Amino acid sequence: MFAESASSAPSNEAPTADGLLEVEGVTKLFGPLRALDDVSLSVKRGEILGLVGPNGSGKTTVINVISGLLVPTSGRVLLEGQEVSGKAPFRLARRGINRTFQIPKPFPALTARENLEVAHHGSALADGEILELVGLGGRAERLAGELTASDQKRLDLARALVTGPRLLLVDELGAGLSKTELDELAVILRRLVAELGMTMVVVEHLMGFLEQVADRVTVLNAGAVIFSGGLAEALADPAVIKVFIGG
Amino acid sequence: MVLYALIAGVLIGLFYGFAALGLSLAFGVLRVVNIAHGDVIVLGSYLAYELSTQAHINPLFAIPIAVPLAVAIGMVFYRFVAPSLGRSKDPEMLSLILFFGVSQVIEALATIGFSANQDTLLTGPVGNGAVQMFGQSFPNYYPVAAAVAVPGALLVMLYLYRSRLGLATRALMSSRADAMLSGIDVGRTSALSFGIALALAASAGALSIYVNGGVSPSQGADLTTTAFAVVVIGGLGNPAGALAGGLVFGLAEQFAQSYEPNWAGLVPYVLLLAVMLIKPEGLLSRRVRYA
Amino acid sequence: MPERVADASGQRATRAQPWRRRGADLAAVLVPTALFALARTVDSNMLLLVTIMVYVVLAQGVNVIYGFTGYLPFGYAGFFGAGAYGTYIAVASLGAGAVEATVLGGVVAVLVAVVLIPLLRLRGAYFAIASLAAALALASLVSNPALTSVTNGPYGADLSKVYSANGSYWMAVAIVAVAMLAVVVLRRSRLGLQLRAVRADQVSASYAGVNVVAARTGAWLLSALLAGLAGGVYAWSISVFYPTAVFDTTISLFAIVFALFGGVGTVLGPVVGAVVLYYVYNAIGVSDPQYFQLIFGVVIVIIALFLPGGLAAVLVGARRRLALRGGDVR
Repeated sequence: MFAESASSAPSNEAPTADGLLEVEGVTKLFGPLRALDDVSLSVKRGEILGLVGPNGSGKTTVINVISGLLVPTSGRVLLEGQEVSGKAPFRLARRGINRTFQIPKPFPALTARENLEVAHHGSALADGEILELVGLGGRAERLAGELTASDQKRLDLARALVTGPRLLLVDELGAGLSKTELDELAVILRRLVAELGMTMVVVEHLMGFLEQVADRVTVLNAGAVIFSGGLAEALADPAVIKVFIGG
Repeated sequence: MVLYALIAGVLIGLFYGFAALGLSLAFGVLRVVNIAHGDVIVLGSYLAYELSTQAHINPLFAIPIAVPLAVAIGMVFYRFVAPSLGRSKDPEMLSLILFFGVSQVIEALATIGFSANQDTLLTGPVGNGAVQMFGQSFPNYYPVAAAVAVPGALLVMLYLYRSRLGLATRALMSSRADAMLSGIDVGRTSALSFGIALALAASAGALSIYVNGGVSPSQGADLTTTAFAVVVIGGLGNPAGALAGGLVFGLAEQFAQSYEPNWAGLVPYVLLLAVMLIKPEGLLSRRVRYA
Repeated sequence: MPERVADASGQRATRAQPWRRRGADLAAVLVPTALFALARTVDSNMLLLVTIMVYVVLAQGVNVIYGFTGYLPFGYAGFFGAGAYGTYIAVASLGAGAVEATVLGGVVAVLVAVVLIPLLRLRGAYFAIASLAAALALASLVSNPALTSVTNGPYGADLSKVYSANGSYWMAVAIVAVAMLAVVVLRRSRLGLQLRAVRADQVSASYAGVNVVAARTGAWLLSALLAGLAGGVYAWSISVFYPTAVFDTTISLFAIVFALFGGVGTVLGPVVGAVVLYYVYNAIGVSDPQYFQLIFGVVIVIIALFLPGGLAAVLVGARRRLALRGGDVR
């Protein structure tokens, strides 16, 4: 029933020169459960795409598929026109796709700095600069296991940045953070795009955060794309309103 | 020869399934890998041996004696080790090492108590002699082993699926946290499950002394490996699968012994490795279990 | 960022001076090697000394695979047996000299490990039992009468034509040096850091760009090499042996417990564990193995329940309580 408003046909959006990521008709089944149903989306170089939808709508699954944690049942993921679906996360990390986690799991027995030393280094920035950037400059020698939840999120972001991603997938950065911390992180994300030319897909519940960072949004419901476009239009779209309020 | 291998495989397979049931239960409920499982079977065999040779009663009486004893010991022991397992970041690996130590202790005590030599019972469970079935002749302990294994396994099923405690146990199997929030006494239910797991192992011992041609302290490791192969084939943590796994294992072993006796020794290991690598969640299990 | 340290070390907080660390590393390799080289002037039982050295190497091998990856190899004896038989076949069938044959034993163990790489897909108890099954299968294969022309089947291997008490002793000393060096280098290397990361969280490590499979495979092959060399030198020193002796699960058991007792993940822990416990075994275990086994079992239970870090953790804990300044304690 959402088929009319879904921009799911890949042929509608011909790959453009500035397109970085294309997700083409990805379906993911978990046994009988259809977690993603023919999902297509595209992300242009240098933009931040917000990925929204109710709980269980498949947002994190999309991130998991793009980042290589899950192999799609059908469909493909293209980075600059080259198929990357099914490649192991470490290969994607070395090719410029990285992600953060809703619940980060840094290496607890290593210091913040050692957490970064482990990583494949693809960034032009030094580890210390990245720690400064995410606001961990003063805690480089602390064990990751002893950092606060909020600092672990910063470290998780730093770990992703060290690999020098062109595409960064950010999964629910806001969950459990205060308004001030969230505002700080929004500024950091925008700086990464502006200064390093990064491209991002940001999964987020908090509309305020999306307003600050997202150029466009894609709305998922029950594993299918029901809207793609500006955030303001999304909030006025009847199908989207139905899902978020009427559902 | 086909018929013989088929019947023997089924009869012995049911015994293997029963012998592995406790290992499967302990893993399914408690995530405990009881490496000492085989050694508990050995203790059951020694109980049967002593009853028969010292008290001159039927060795199968070891079962009603062993069950309450094993449940009690198991419950106390589990209460003793549970805090350490609960504290550990990797309780499964810790249980592996812990029970590895326990198996050494049991084997050592069995050697001190009964000497390292193999002891064999000369009288069968229902007298000596062979049984004729479908024109084939089998030692009479084959059907006896199956006749004990099947109702024993049924009792476990009844407990799990028809009793209140069994319901709590199954709740525990699917989620420890949810079980706790539902007001289930997780500590007691876990301890009881471990006790039952040991009771099943000890009961199997009364049959193992026949099926394996005797008992010796060093048998434990082989019995654990066999039991592990059986539950892996059926799906670790899935009690119903254990019986089916036992059948697959018994049939494979009997056919190999009939047709390729030189290489029969390889069968259990190759079967175990093949199942683990091709379908680690078990041939019969649909859900993936991460271990 | 001038202070950025090029090699990934296990140190934290205030880092030790590089030259001091290098000195400690060098000592960790040279001191045990020198002690074993001199041990024959104190204890004339050379076979005992070789056996202890063999267990030092095996405990280090377990350290490499369990300490760095968390994979517990119940079937570790399979590599030992493969090394022993590789050495035998090299001498008996290829006419190799004893030293080359021992090295070939290590190579054969690595080849076995290559075949068994798929086992690394398994986790926890599955891996432990699968490695045991693989070792038992290999033992059953080697002792099969059908392979008598290659392995002499169940009738045992005879290396007496290359027997040399001195030669095998010095070879054992050399292999101890190799094992110590391997662990020291691994601990200081990028691979070691990656393995610690993988052990902490596989997914996070993968997104850090670590090739999890390759890193684990590296540790697996290295640990097999050490066991194979140990098996080879053991075969050479004992000269006549049966399949049951070199594929004995007790060998895996000893190696694992020695490593756990001393402390896995450390450089010297497994050495101390092997020397102390094997001497205890030699004192009471040979005449009354069941009493040794009892003590052994109790030790394992105590380690599992109360001392997950082994002897090393106890010592470090005591040092930390004494020093209480933090910083240089690790």
